Amino acid sequence: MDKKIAIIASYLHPIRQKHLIDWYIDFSSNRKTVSLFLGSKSNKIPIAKNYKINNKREFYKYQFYNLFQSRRFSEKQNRIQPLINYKPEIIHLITSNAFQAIEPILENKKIQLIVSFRGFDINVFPYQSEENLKLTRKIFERADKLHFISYALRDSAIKLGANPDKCMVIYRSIQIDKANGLQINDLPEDHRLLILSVGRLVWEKGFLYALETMSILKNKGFDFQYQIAGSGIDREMINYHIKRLRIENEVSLLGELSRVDVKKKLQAAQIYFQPSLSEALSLSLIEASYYGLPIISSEIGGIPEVVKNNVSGFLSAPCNPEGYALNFIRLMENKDLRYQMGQSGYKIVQNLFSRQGELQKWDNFYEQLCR
Amino acid sequence: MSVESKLHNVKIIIFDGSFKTTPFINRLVKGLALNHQIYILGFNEKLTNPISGVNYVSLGSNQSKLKFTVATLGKLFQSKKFNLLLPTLKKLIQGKRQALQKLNLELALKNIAPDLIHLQWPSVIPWFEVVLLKQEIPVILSQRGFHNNVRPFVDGENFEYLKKWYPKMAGFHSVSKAIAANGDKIWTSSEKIDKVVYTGLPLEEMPFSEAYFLSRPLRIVSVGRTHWKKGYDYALRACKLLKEKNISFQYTIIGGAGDEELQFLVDDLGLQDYVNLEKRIPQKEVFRLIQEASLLLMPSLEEGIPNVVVEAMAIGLPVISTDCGGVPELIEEGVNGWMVPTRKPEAIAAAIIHFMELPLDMIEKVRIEARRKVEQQHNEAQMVRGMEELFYEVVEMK
Repeated sequence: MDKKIAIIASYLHPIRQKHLIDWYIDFSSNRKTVSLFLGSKSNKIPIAKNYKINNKREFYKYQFYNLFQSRRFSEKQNRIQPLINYKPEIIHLITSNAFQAIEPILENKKIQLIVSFRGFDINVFPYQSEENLKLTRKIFERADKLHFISYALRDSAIKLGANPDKCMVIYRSIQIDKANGLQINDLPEDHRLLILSVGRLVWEKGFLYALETMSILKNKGFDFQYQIAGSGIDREMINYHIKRLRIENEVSLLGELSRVDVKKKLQAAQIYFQPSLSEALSLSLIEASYYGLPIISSEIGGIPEVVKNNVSGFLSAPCNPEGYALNFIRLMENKDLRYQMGQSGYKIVQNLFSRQGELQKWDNFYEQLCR
Repeated sequence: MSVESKLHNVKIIIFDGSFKTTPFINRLVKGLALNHQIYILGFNEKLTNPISGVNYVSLGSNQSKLKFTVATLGKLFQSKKFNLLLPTLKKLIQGKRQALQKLNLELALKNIAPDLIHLQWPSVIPWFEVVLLKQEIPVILSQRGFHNNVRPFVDGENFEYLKKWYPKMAGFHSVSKAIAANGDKIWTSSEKIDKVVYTGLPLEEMPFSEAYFLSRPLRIVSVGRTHWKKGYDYALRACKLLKEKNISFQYTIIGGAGDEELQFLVDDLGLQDYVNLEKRIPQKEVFRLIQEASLLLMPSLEEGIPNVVVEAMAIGLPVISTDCGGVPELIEEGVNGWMVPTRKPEAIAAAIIHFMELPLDMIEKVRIEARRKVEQQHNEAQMVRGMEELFYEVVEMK
């Protein structure tokens, strides 16, 4: 596998997209011809280089180098000098929004382009304007391979015009600790049942419906606590509805937690809740299943590929608090069922969402590509 | 408090944070400037349409360093506080913009020596903490909407902050009785001065539209930037219900373009042929556009008093609104408009269907009553007079 590969992202959030950074580190660990390029170098991600010129110093540096080169660069090509100088043979965009910036180098048809798409790129972006739709279809055209993180997302892309032959699905993954098995802790006697959500406080996660569900359960006399870990622009809205529904005693917002604290919460909880409206795959659901939590979620997008209804959790129609509440009631007083579902979820993650499994699939894919 | 007061001419500082302010503040200021000395303090440099008779005082531009320096030094010399020259130069070099703006504010207050300061939003209180502590110049705070009726109740820190500074206000202006009640939840006392002064419209510029046309498909419009408290998601769910009942309609949200959640809902609910999310447009164009509609829908969860409803009623556009905040002080069910409970798409859909089945002369009666209500409760004269009465009350209490 000696073709030069450039893995490109316009930006990677060191916490929220850590899984992509981890993926890259694992993927590149035994390869010498891979490099990670970001739009701007980040101190938190020292392994990455810039793909574009970000300041005057770099600009002059490359002007100097180019004095000794015979070919002349166009205005647009000038900006992405560092990438051009790397001379990649394969470019893999792990965030599709970097496409426009690197377009100049893609005029060279010999360079193979792989583009990975997230939910937003297919479910939201193309619908925001005609230009966005045109750009999305342009990317579909130019790319040699289109990578989707779920079959649901792939199907949505095909509806938008993606060529099915170019499409491939490789699930995102999490690190699995093979040495230690699953440990599901018992709920201590004097503790209330803990329901947990981990995720950004944005409309896609459906927190309004989560709160309505909690209100229904409270009115039916159930005793529990519901904690939400995460930050986001809907924080005030969520507080507003918590007060309106009078569930301050049951619901608390924990803010953004570190990975370590998230892990602790997952180990302490009994049920994981994610009533999303829009979801391509959801690493939080994968993680929750890995920690042996039964899941209550919506039957939309890529969620049925992570959670098997009636097996590792209960899925119901989105925006329907009554439906979620019914599923909660089935779980809340049935410790054995929770345990069983947690076990099933753990197995599903081991089979479908392990880092090792994902890397194997990428290895196979690149093997084929480099031939 | 007698309006026939000795104090005919009051020196007032209006503070909104910017020279430009909002249309309703501008209308108020225009009216007040006829009889009183109005100063508007702000951080802007450019103002395209200054109101004549109003003194604009810059506290130091947030954009241009040069203009900032000029403004700062100018103020310093005007106030003759030369002992401050060296420290000021030092701060200018260090780029301590906010500290200097605070100093400029202090100097401006000294130069103007106002009878009264009128703060337009709770968010500008931090600039006047020193003034409020001194209790020499009375300060009035306007209670208009989100920053009074929602934010303090979802943001604990904000609530504590307001609870601390509210008692130091000499008086309050509320855009509705509902929002005055919210203010009482933050702080109240037997001596509290809180006057409800309804927003005033330039009704001569907003003629009642004699010709009204109940279009088919029914053209429904909402106006306002997207925010969760505007309740557009409930409106869209109501549209889904209308579609299922085969009702023919077109719903436009002016200011809705670019909102991911709304876009998602439009697609998810299959409303692409029924709903348009339009970009934000200037007030004048909004006016023209809403006249092409047959119904205004206002689905908000919380409002002080929605100006867009007042405007719609003025020009004769029928309104269905949620009954949040001060809306019941404006709409009387079936008489000059219709109300629905908040967060209930079924109720919105039912109200729209009910509206479509009304005889035209009934709708006409409602339109005329709506205009009458607005003429009586929301004319500019009552707004200016009401604020003047509040000012006199506060100044005389000094």
